[in-house]
Amino acid sequence: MTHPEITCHRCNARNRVPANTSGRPTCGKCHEDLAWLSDLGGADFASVIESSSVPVLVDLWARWCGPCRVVAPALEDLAKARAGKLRILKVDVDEAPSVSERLGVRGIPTLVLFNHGAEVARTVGAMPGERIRQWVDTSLAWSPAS
Amino acid sequence: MIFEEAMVMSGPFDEVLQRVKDAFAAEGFGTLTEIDIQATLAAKVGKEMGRYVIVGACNPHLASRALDVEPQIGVLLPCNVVVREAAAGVMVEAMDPGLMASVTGSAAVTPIAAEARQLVNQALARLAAP
Repeated sequence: MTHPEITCHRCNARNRVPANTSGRPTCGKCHEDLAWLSDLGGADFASVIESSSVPVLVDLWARWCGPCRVVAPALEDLAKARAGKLRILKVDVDEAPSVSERLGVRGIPTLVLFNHGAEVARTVGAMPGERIRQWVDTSLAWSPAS
Repeated sequence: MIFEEAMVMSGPFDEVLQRVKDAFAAEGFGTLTEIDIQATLAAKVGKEMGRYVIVGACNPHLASRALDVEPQIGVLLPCNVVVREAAAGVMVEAMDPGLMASVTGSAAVTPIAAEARQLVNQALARLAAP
């Protein structure tokens, strides 16, 4: 399995981070928390969710889905804003249909938020980045400035 | 099975409904039907619910080609777009036209469904534009 590469949003260094890493990945060069947004790839969904020490926001999307493309940049911004506190995992429903079936997803984009391995919230439909951020913060009882 | 794409819109319901019809019209989809589910169910069974409208969007060129290769495809036409009130805002949900290919299993329908999917996505992208 290839390890996803994450570019540090502070120093631009490239870091390889295994999909099933359970801790908080930091940049090998500047040691800052990485904005952890990656594809599921060939990793096992259940083990990724259950082993994560930080909440995981799962984005179920498809390449052909227009609204999903609307959400994508907002999630990149969110990953940077919540670096070290949140992992964002993108799951292509065409590549991993078993995940969308397991989660009972019927429409995309669907965002499902997990904490300590359990689903705590989900929302369906593209919406502006600020509203996604508010939804995540509220669902995890985070203060806006945290 | 994934069968819809969705957007959460803000703003007055009727304004969003008009934006949806305009966006689909810009991609060649006329509004063939407009069903007010809220009013219909209130009248028929006394149900109380939020605003809920089903827009039947039809691209006549694509519909014509699809009917030529698969006459039964009419059971999946027109492309339904739901506009409804939800806690998060006004939900806009469009059926994925790709379903026409997967449900029928027809190779002849596949390229038409792909074209319809692209146009539906372009219409939804218009809604996201400021």
